[in-house]
Amino acid sequence: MRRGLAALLLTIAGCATPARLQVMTEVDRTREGQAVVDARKTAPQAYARAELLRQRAEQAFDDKDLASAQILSERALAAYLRATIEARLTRAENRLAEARVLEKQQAERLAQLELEQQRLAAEAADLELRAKVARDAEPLAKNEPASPEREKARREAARAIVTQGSLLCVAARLVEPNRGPLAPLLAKADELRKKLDTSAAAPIDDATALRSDCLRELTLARRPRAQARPAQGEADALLSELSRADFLPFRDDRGVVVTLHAPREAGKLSRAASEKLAELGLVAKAHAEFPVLVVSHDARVGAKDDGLAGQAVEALKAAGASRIEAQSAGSTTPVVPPNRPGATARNDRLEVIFVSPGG
Amino acid sequence: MGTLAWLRCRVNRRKLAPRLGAFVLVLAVSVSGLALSAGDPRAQASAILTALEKKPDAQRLAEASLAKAKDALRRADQQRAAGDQKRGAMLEQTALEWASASELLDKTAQTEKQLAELQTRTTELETKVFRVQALVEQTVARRARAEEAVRKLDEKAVKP
Repeated sequence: MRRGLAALLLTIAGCATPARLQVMTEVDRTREGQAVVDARKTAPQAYARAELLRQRAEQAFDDKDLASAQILSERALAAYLRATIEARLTRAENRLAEARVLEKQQAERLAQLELEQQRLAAEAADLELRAKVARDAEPLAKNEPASPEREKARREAARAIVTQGSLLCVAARLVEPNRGPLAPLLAKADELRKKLDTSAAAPIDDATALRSDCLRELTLARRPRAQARPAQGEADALLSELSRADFLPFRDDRGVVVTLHAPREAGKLSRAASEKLAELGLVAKAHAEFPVLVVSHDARVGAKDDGLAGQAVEALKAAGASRIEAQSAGSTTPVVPPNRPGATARNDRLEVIFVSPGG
Repeated sequence: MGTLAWLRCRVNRRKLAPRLGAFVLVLAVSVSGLALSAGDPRAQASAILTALEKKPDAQRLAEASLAKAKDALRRADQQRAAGDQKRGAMLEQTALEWASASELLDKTAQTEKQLAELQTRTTELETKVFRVQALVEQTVARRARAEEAVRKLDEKAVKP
């Protein structure tokens, strides 16, 4: 009886299913996870492989080959992980491809807009200049003789206007050397200067007309290039370059202007100015399309040409610049009235003008 | 055959034969080498682990799966030493599975990094586009104002 019972127990124990392996439970849990569920759609092949390994592990377990079931389950676990990573990689690659397309689109849009902006800015500048020329050309009310003080102020103003006008004409000559109307206009400027040195009434109206004519000539000289290349933006680029180099440039009707203060040292070009001019000469060499106009201004009232602009031209040429012209404005166009404190330091200056060739 | 008669007379078969033989031998060695390494999970897993060891980022990122790959290789050695070649081979395949997962994780991380950088660049570009668009609108208005001014001045000039 006892022997029979013992045999029965042994038989039952032999047939009993072994406890499920911990790693198999882990595989089941992993398989139910959201990442694997997602991978089923995004990485179907990798998922199918993991499933196959899991099934082989189950088969080994059913065959009571626990060691193989353990190893295959571990492999299935790695395969499920791989499927989830593959799904993640596929998503990242898809998004990367989309982002590349978007980046390309944005870069193209930006380039298109920048081009449009340059073209529009050039057109607007041209129209503004045309409006300015038209305004200047409007007939002015004739100035009647005034009191001696008023007449003196008018004479100073006329001197400044004549200088401005002749500098505009010189700028036009640099842009288009053979422009016909420039020679008579420059001759008229000389004539007005002579007249201003006499005791005759200040020719303020003639001076204004001269400036207006010279501005018109400069605009006309620039027009062919401006029309041929409406979106060029050369002056903007040069202005940015000079700003980056701390030259504190600004723009006026003539072009891009750099002012050098304290240019004189014992009647000659100062060392600091020479150094700056060497740097500007390199800029002029790199932007050969911009002719350069050098204008010296003297703080001493009534001062005439002391040859400083000529020395500056030599310094620029030594650095590689070409197409340069020197002009002396004397004391005709001070920045501040000469009797103000600190006026000498501000009025004594050298202007290096990169004449805009196309507006 | 008749059409290839011109070729037959130009080819010196005696000279060509040794060269061809050498080429076939080299090819056979290369292909068999490749096939062996391609079919050997241990070699493949070890190669992946060695490559990833040179990448500190990958080491950090796939620390757990790399450890499991190394553990599987160690156990495979034990099984083979105990004479169980079958389970040794199974463990080597498991090691390759973990190593491949680690390699893929490294590749995924790199792709995600590229994506993040690209998205940053695209955002910057979008901001620039927005700014330039605003500038264009301002310039259009500026041009319109200038055009209007010129038109008025032209009209004025025409009138006596």
